[in-house]
Amino acid sequence: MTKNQEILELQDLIVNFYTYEGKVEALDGVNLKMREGETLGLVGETGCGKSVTSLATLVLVPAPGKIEGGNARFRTNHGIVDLTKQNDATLRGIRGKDIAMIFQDPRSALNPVYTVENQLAEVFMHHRLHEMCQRSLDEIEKDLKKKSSKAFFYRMEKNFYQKMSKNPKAFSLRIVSRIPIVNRYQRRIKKEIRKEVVKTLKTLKIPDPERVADMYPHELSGGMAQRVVIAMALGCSPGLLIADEPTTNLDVTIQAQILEQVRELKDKFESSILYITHDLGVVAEVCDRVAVMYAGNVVEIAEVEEIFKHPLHPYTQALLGSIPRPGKGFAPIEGEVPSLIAPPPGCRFNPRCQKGIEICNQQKPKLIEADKDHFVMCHLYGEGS
Amino acid sequence: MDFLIHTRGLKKYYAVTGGVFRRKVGDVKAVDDVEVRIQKGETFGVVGESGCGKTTLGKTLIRLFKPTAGHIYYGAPPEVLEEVDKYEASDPKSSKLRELRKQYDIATFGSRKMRQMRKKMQIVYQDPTTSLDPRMLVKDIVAEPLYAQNLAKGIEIRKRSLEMLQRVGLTERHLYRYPHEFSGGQRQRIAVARALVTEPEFVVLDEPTSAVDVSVRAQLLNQFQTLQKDFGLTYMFVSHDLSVVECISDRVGVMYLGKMVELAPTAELYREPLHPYAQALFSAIPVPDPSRRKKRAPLKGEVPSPVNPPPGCRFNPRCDKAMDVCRKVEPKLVDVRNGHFVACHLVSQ
Amino acid sequence: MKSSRWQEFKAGMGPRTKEWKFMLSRLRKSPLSIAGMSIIIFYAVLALLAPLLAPPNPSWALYPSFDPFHIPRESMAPVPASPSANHPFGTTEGQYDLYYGIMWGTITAFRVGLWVVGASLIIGLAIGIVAGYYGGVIDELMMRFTDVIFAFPGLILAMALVAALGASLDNVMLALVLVGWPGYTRLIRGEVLRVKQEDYVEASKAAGASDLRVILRHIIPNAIYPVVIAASLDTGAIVLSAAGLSFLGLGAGPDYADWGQLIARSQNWIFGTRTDPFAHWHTFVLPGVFIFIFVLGWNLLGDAFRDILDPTLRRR
Repeated sequence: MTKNQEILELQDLIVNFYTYEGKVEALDGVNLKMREGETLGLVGETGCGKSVTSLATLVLVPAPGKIEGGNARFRTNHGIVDLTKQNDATLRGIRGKDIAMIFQDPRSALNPVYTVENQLAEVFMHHRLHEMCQRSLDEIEKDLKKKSSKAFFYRMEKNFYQKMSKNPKAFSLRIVSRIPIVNRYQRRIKKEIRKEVVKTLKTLKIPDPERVADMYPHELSGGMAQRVVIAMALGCSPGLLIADEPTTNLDVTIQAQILEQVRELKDKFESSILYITHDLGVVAEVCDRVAVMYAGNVVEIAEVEEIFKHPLHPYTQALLGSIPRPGKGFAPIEGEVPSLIAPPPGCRFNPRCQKGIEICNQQKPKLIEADKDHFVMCHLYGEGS
Repeated sequence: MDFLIHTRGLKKYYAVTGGVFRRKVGDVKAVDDVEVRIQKGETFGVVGESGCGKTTLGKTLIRLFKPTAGHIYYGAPPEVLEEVDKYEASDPKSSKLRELRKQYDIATFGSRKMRQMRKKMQIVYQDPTTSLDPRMLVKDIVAEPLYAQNLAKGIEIRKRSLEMLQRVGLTERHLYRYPHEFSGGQRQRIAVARALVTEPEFVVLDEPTSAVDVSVRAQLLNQFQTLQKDFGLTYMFVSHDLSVVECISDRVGVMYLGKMVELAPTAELYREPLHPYAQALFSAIPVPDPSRRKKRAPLKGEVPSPVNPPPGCRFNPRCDKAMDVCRKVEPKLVDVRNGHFVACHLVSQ
Repeated sequence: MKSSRWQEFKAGMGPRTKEWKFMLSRLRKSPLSIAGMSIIIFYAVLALLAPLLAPPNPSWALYPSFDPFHIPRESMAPVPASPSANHPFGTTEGQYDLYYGIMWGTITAFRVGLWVVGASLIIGLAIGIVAGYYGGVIDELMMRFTDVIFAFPGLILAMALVAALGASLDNVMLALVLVGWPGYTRLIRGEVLRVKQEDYVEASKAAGASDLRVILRHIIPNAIYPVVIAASLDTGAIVLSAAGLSFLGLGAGPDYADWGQLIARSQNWIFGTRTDPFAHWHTFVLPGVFIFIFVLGWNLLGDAFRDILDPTLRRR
């Protein structure tokens, strides 16, 4: 795959939530483009819609929310698909394999009654079954070459595995896997999976991976649990990894370790990462490009150095100005985030904007390229400016 | 120097029970032999990661927890403190010392004496969603300390709670609402109003800006500073966010695993942290400036459990400059220069 | 001054009525909960109007020991009579008027249900809250005591009390209270343990609130919801138990207006006569239907409460 190809494109995505209090317009036409191999930071405050954006990409928006407009085009191995128009089966094949997601609280992402190995195995069995079967078959070939007395059993196993790699849900396999002694053939693939699990844990620099593989989630510390979750997500080498505030709950030193890891893994696994956070420091550390969201819209997208040096949108400027810096004091942004049930007309930032002009409360601005590779959604940079 | 709070050998241990008969098998040493001196009118910052004991320290100082050992001298004039120092050095069992302690040492106050002190010390919690009773109206929440301590009656209560609410930037019509109708920043302001309605002297701010957004953080910090000037408050600002602490504190202490490992005026500490843990902490914070991306390797290992802290210096398993003495002897917090205290064998040489 | 107090009260009610409206709208969305509420309201109306719907014989009022809960009988004939103009629901064995018995039985049912649940709540909540809030040795002692009471078989206790003190509905109610309170204790103790740890309770203590104030103002309002649900479900169950005990002869006397008692009168006719298996079906079917629907109403109401009072589903 050549770089600079686009891997994800959100066009005018609209998501509404129908609650008791009214229609919450959570996403009001979100436009986003992600290139392959880059880390895009999605920054915004509580309620701006960044989590909803990530859920909408995976078409996992919970009720009473509905995707009601726009499309989410994603590049898979077979070409570009519009995720909002796919059926459930296709989406299930994509989720976890081509797009993986990690959440804020690692311990609620892990099932407390299964060991680490079990949970990783589940991911592998679902998405990399063919590869695992192939490896088991290779092992069987090696055993057959030894010409031992168990050749008959090996041939039977070969039969099973070939069937499994073609059609894992075959009826005959389902019966056989329940018969007590015959289902020992599964031992081989379990061994392969365990090897793969330990290898993945090692990649994430988890100390003592053999022991950790047998642990339960409550025995892991926050940092380790989050690394296991990352292992689950990266286990299938997804093209796109969506990370929804993965280090917010962790200590600062652990966060530094994990950010370091993410940087290393990005190169190794060649994934693109959509990194959602509200911490501008983290964004400066890990991201290549940054998209700033406010009240359901992406208001600015640019390279990370550009955004920090020359922020164009008034909201981005105010946000950067409100970070406490010693000696400079802190300039808060006046006002409150608007209610999304009755959003202000025109540009949603207008009521709090110091630089508003007349057109701002009449017409919603469009996302345009104000500078080279620097997109803004603001009338100040409209046509003619 | 007028110290509002002066602690000596403050300890707060939690017993760990185990076994069939629930015998005590160990202690969680949340706060272990901490000495702090907070001046009147200053903002004393405490930083550290989760489990270091900073929250426990704050809550112990205002006697939400009863200390396991140690003394907290509250509001003692400097002469008294000098006398206490003298007696403790020479004759710890003297009756004069006991008398002084009975008067000033709130660590030993009974519940009745403590009730009179409560109006002088208050706390603002980290998470405004859980620190406000979801079934109470805002006006009742803010007025509760007045009711609980019988500080005012009838219309006076309403006047004072309204005044406090207006000071934090809310209006009269906000009185008759439930907490869940407000945003996080507004809820935190209600919590601040509640803390200040009794006109206290000392307020512990337990990570008050961690649970709110970046833009609201600035609003809250401005508010804290204004209120401090208006009411002459003394703050203890606990946080894990170093940049916020830097902006608001006069002096900062760094805690690790129940111990204070470094203590200095803010500018001095941020310019040159001396303790290896403090250095690691400062270098681990992501700075919102992409041109300064971290080139240093992050700190290795995990924070050990406070039940069985490592022997000697608590930081030694993760410290890459650890010497032999670090594994055996616990370093003491000493003044290495101009009020810059460090507890490290390497530095105090 | 006075007008501002009134205005203050009105203003305070504002958000509270909003909450009530929200709860009502949730109720309206669920047909089963509407059914439950309608049933209970219907029975309540019946109970209130019973003296009008089934007036006791005025001449009896002259007797000093007059008690309208004693069902009038015209004769002593053992065979029940079918419904007729004089007796809209017919009569049961011994010529007790079924209509009268069922109407006044409604009042009895409410009396039994509400008194027993009320008394159980008072005892159970007091013990549970103290045990949960103070913990330690007090908690241990109280909960072990509760465990002992839990183990008591209600039926045996009822029989023992009746044997000692005589058969009456009041004794049955006493027995039900004595075995009924531990359930609430366990329930409220669990909730108190949860609420005790919340930040706002600690904040209240930091503000100097006494234990009593913390319990009344913070702990109880936040811990009470599962108890409300359990209590409404229990009311129906208690009435059923009382009916069962009356059926066994432990409760009210033979002419008392109590649904269980009425069914007891019809024991001999459950399978009808030798010739006609459905003879005299009205003697047990009619009171039975009334009991059934009454208990169903309380069950539906309890389920409705559970659905609307669940705080996690608040703002959907």
